[in-house]
Amino acid sequence: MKRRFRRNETLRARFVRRVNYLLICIAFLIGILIYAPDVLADGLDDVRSRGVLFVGTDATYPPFEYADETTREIVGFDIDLVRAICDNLGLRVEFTVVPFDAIISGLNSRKYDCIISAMTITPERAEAILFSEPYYDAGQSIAVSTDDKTILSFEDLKGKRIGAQLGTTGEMLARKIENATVKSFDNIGEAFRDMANGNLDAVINDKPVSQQIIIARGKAKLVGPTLSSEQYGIGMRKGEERLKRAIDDALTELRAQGIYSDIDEKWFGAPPIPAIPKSFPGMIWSILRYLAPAVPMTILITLCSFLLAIIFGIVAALARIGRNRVVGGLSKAYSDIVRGVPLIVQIFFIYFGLGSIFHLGEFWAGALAIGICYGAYLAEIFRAGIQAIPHGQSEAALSLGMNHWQVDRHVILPQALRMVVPPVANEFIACLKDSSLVSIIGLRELTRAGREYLSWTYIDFATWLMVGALYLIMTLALARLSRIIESRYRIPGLGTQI
Amino acid sequence: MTPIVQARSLVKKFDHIVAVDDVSVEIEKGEVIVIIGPSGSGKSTFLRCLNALEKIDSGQIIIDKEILDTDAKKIHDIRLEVGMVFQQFDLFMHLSVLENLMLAQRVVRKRSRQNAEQIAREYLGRVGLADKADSFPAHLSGGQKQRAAIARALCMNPKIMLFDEPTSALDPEMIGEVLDVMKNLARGGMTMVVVTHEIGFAREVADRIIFFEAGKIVESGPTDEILSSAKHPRTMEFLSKVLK
Repeated sequence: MKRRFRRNETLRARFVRRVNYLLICIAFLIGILIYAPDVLADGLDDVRSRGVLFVGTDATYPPFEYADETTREIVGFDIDLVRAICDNLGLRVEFTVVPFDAIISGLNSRKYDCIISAMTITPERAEAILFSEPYYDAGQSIAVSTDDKTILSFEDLKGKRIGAQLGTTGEMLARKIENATVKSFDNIGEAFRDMANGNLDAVINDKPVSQQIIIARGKAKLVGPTLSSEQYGIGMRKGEERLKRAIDDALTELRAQGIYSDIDEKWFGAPPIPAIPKSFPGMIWSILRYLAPAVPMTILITLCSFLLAIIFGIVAALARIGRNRVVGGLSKAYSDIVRGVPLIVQIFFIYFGLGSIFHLGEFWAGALAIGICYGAYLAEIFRAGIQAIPHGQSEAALSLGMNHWQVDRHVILPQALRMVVPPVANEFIACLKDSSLVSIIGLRELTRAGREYLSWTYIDFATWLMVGALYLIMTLALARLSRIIESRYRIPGLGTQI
Repeated sequence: MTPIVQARSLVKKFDHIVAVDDVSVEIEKGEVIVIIGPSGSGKSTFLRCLNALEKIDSGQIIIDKEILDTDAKKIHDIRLEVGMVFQQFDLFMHLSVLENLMLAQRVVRKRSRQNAEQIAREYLGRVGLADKADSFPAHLSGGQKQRAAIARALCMNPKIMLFDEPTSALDPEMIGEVLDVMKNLARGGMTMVVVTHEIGFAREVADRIIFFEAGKIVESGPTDEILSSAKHPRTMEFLSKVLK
């Protein structure tokens, strides 16, 4: 019947039918183009049929994803989370390690089904791939004292005293707050302690780190939503709406079941070490055990610094006394400049300032800075010591045929050096104490070790007490040693009698 | 025979003060010269010029045929020939007496430790300090210190010995022991130039006396002649005061 009808149709009707057909075809093609991924190859079905989810990650970003040092296995917060998701979905998981800059193109060329790699959800990335709901909020958070009831959100921070870590986004945020007093710390743990001591109203810092501190020591809580939005999402190819729904549902369930917070606690909770004994003697012992290995470094840097200082000091003292006016002037300039600038500035200058020209590690940069500084003080002491030797001594030596070098070497310096033992010993003790300044450029000596221990345990009083005690033991020993040397090498008839 | 010391027209100025003013002296080998004169007359400065402890402004010094000029090597060589003893002894405070005597022998003469010690002990014996070898200068009396200082200079085997007021810083009872050592040295034939106020010593051992005043030699001559019949009134006046 149809055929007959067709046969009888007019030419015009035939044309209309063909146009309609063409339109339907075009619409269908457009439909295919638009809905192609969903219609042609659904990722979720694919994954379910093979029973394995392939995941791309850049395993160089602890604690989110990294290769374990000993086992070489990929571990981390993201890894545990995606394993839990797969458990929830009844899937196995296999990881592919990809450099972060190639991770999106790897996804789109179907090397794996999704990405989990601490990837912040940004509008640019959302153009290229589909993101799950955020699974981690890495923004800045506000911490306040546990009993604080006035600060509930960012707006409440106006005119408050706010602590932050030097050079962080948290500090930048804090500085934008109207009338707020911002206090920056080297270590965020110090800001939390300052708040506990009542000197700050709030601390702005990375949420995971703040969380870690609060879990470890209490006395503070997080308030309000995170300030900057840095949310991590799982990435999938565009169009994998069903896979996204499955993953989002799994995430919701993990949160509800408490599995998410278990993983969070595992990677961002208080570090397991050191276990702090509850009893006071046990705590002291634990502190001392932690500090003891740093004592040799304090001794070593003091010795190296002071050796350099003695060399600089003798050279500068001889230059100052010598006949050459230019050299003498240089030596005086050295003393004046170095003695007029704080040691901590000199350490920064040599480590960071000159660090771009000469690469010195923190040990030698520190030793050099202290050496130069103490050299200037020692130069003055040596100069006074040398000038205290009666002129007749060198005349007598010269008249015996010695040259100037021999006079200095055999007659002047041996006497001058022995006369300056007490003041030099004082400088040495001061140098030992000032070696603590090198902790600011990261050398792991006694003071640094104390700060490290604190950053984990938050035991302020006992830690600083023990750091101080260890310094005191060393300085008392040095003072004793200096008295022994002094009496042993004392020149009869010169200097003070003991 | 050429004189062992020849000083010709020496001039030494300190800023604008002329300490030694055109002084010429010749000293024969084995001669003992005593220089006298009031304080600040330039006699010590003259003595110090002879071993280049003071740099002369003009003139010439010839010691044992060597011209003393500003060349450091030459100065060094000449100082080896010229021993000096100071008013304040100037023993090295940080060394024992024995070490004081050995130091320059070791570092300048490059003698072995054994050899230097042997020589040091010999001279210590000659000045009567054999038992003080291990003492420190601070534990010696003034007279002992000065005898040790003389021994220290002698260890270097100098051809000439200069003494710059060697007894002026001593207590009276210690002057004798030092002068005795010096007399023995003179009798042994050492060429000596002694700045002193000890006229008795001069009378006993000096061949010649030179009288200094205001940087110039006022009078010089054989000891007896100067002591008994000085010609210049300033010399007579000075001697009358010190001999009183």
